[in-house]
Amino acid sequence: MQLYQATYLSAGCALLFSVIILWRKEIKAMIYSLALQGIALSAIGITEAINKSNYGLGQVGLETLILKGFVFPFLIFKVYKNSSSKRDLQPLINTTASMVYASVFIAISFVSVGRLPYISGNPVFKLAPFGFAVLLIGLFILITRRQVISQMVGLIVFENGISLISLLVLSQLPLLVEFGESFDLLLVVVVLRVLATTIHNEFLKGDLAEMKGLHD
Amino acid sequence: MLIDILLLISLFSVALSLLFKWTKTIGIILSIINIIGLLFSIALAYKVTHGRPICSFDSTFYADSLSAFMTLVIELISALSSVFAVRYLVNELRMQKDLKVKISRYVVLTQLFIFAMLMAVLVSSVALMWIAIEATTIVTTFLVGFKSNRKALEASWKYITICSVGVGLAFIGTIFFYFAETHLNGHVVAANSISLDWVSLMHNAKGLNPQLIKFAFGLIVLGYGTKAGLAPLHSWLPDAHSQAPAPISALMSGVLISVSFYAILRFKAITDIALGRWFSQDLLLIVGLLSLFLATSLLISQKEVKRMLAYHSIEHMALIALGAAAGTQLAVAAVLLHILGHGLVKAILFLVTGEVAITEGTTEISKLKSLLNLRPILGGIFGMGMLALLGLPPFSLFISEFTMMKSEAAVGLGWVVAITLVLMAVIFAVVINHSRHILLKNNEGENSDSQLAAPSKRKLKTSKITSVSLIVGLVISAFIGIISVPLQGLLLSAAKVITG
Repeated sequence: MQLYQATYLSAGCALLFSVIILWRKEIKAMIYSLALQGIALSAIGITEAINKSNYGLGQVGLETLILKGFVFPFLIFKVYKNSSSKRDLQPLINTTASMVYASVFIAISFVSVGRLPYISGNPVFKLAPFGFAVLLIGLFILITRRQVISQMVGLIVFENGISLISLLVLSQLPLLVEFGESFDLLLVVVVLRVLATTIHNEFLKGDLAEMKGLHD
Repeated sequence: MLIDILLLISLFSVALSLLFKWTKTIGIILSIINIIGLLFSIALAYKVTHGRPICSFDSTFYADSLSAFMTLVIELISALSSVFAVRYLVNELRMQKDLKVKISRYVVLTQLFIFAMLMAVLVSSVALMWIAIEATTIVTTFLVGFKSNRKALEASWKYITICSVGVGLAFIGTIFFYFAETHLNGHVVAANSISLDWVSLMHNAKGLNPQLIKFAFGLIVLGYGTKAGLAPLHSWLPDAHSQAPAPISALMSGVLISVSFYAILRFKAITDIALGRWFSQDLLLIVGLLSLFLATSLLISQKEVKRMLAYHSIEHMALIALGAAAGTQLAVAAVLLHILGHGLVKAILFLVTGEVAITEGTTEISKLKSLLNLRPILGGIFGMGMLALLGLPPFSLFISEFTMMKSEAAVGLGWVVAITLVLMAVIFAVVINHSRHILLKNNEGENSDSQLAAPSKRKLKTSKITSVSLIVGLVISAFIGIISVPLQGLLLSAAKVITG
């Protein structure tokens, strides 16, 4: 039972870090929180692996630790080092309102996903609402921030939410699918990094508000 | 065996483009390989229509008539666009000599793109299909940004972020389908007795929990709908399709969006068994009408041909969604015919616009005048293509639109037909007006200085091979429209896969 408490604690941490990312404006702080969120996610996988003595889950946990704890934050950090802006100063919605939205998202997740059938049937399934909340907050970051780096962070928070939800079927999902998904995500982040660097060279500050060439 | 050959041919062209630097000869060889792929896809279509679905590689790959039909569409558009790509790339090289490395990368990515689309329709596992569709986003991002100016960068950034979100939502939908399958008839089922492939999901569909399926199918429509260019997450499409090089726009607008819709159709079949037809019908009606309305309102103000064509893609995906909402076998057959017809005509129009961009140096509607006079062949193809796109006979889009609307009316959706017709009339008026401007408007007066601005480009001749291949495309579309006999069996049997 104590191991499940560790799982819940990690899931809570993952949710907390997504709120922290939404709250902070310093890009460095956002990247560190993202790394910590990745580590919290991998902790879930690893405790689950110990709990069920499932070798495959351990692999997934380890892979999450490497990718989401280190590789993604590192790739974003490289973009950050190239850029001149240190803070994301003008999100479309201010911090106070963002916090209110975040609490609404969390409530929606627990009311909607939390009430779906079979979700309360297994301690791990109960993490799905956490995942949905993380996902919505990530989407919110992606929509309301105008800096390239913040949008990258938002997208990865969104993907972290997905991996929490995929715990619903993780012990049954073929490893091929799991690794295929992670590999795709890795490629997306690498592509984003290349694009972000080009955009920084082209638009100086990487402020997407300057990109208005294609509006209707 | 045929599936393996098709995938191997596609892999071979990826390898070929990886190993050799792009030259005109390599380009021509690649086009020929793509045409061979088309022939094999016809063979596959023939085989599954007249026999049972085929599997290969321990059931990793699976082709029923629906997959075979989609393979046919993919190969047809790929062949057409690879013929034009030779012309496009030679011209790019002529303009900028230092593009060699970039062009080689372009060709590799294009072949990978085609391979990923083939994988998406030929794998049996829904999760592997998801991976293949996500892979198409990754490889096409650089293709959208090929011109690497500000607008192209903006388009590719928007494209990859919005589509990653969309496809991510589709992944959650897929997870919930699987989750429902692991709780079949309310009992927890062991993982080794079920699998994530179409056949098994269809077989177990009756025992899936309705509430979970509602949630899952909603996410699937939203998610794959994003990639299919359906509202509300459609905003990447006009940017990406207008900024990408013409051969890529043809592939993206012609087939990629339909491949995503293919995913929706497959999940619709499962949902309909689990919930009855009403749920998917309501959802597709909402998404379809919203997209149709948005496309119409934004089409009115378009100033650039490729962007106008991109909004047309949203319009046609909306029509396809509405047709799928009707859900009868005839309606789905018409939907598939529309996917083929729209893919073909849209690819032709993007390619002819690419040719116009090469010869005239612009694709802005206000600067293109009297095209029919200056370039009779190009202007003629453009004009005929536009008429086909608007759904006039004898082209196949007329038959498919007519049949879709007839089926909608037959299942009591007459009001949908009425709304569709009103919006299509608006589009018709707008497009006729734009096309008249491009094709017929007199070339006198204030236009003289813009002609002087690009004297060197005016000298360029229209490429013969491009014109011939585009005319062949139009003839095929008209031919299918007049006698759909060779396709009828395939279409009806593919529709049966969805309607059961």
